[in-house]
Amino acid sequence: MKREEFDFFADLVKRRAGYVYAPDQVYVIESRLSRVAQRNQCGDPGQLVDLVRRAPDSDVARDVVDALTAKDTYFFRHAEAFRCLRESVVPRIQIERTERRSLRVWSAACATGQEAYSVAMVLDQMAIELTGWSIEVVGTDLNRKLIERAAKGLYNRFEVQRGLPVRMLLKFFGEAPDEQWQVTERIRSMITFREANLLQPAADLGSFDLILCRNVLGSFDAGGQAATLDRLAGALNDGGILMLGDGEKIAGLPERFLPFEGHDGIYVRPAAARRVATPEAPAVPESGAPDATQASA
Amino acid sequence: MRCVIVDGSRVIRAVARKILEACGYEVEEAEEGGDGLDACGSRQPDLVLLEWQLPDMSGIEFVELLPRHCKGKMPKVVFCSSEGGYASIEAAVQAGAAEYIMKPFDSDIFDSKLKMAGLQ
Repeated sequence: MKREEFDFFADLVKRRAGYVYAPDQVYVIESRLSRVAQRNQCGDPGQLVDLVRRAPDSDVARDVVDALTAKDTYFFRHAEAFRCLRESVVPRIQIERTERRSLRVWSAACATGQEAYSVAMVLDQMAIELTGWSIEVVGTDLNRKLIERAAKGLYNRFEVQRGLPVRMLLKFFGEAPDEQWQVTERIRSMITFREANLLQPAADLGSFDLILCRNVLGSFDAGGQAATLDRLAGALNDGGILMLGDGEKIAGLPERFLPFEGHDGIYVRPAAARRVATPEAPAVPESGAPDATQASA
Repeated sequence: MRCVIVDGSRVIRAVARKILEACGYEVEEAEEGGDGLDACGSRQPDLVLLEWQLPDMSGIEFVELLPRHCKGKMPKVVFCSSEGGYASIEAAVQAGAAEYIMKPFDSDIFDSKLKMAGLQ
């Protein structure tokens, strides 16, 4: 692949999805585009440049971006995060939202949906603690094909075995044709899947108590990360929680987030009143609710 | 850590042995259920990797007979089978299997299923 072809694809995927490819990743781009090239009778991925240039809104252009933003996902990826979700994050949100008794979760860049379903399964297992709560999970991805797959909740034998304990398979899945398994209707009805791009404002998604944005930001440059974190903060309710991927950290920790109870990669968006609090003027707990700072000690 | 692989297929035994040895297991193979039970009696393994149907008995029968052969602690039983029906998997879990691996599998799945079974 020629340098200008690499530049073209790198620029395309940066503008449309925020993903950044370094010049030494030319072989990664070549290999990720090889199947798109084959499907379009191009002998070489570089030949896709002309097709995309001529029709920037075509399926080919979309396929190119999809291929360059593909991410690996599986059920309960990084099991420790889901243990924390059950034991610390959801109980904290229950305290924050005890009056409204509603819990809205956003699984951002969810690809084929395993993360959104994992969250829904955890919440279903907490049904007794969450009696009387309204629960909604929203899964979004910029890749329309993946979102359509996610909504079906159909997974093959490989997918359904990665990260998913057999007892959860039996509880939350049924057999489907062609050796596939399908998430039960009860769990599917908890989730809405929508096509959405993290680079664009997502006001119509509403606001959330918990956002999972895992294993995505690492593909963005510093500017893209900051802008995305800002948008995520804007979509979080006061006291809402942001879960990043294993090992992902918010560099410099913008003022809109605080670390959550010492858990790596998990942050809380403090309530507005607490955000301006200083040690000299400690925040006063509202209406008897535990103070965020103390609760996280 | 010790493992007994009980499977009628020499190929599957070889594949599983390779993965398990890479995980640090000492591996003993048995083609039939009877030999497998004897091996469990003498080796007292931590893990039994079991096919759904063996030449001389079913995997479920094997699990039911296992306590008579394991004097000390019971090994974790993980089924590994091309049998992938809901009812079969449910029966295996009810019989006491800790995990169930459907063939075909890769080493990632194998690895993660052993972890889910509380091994490794």
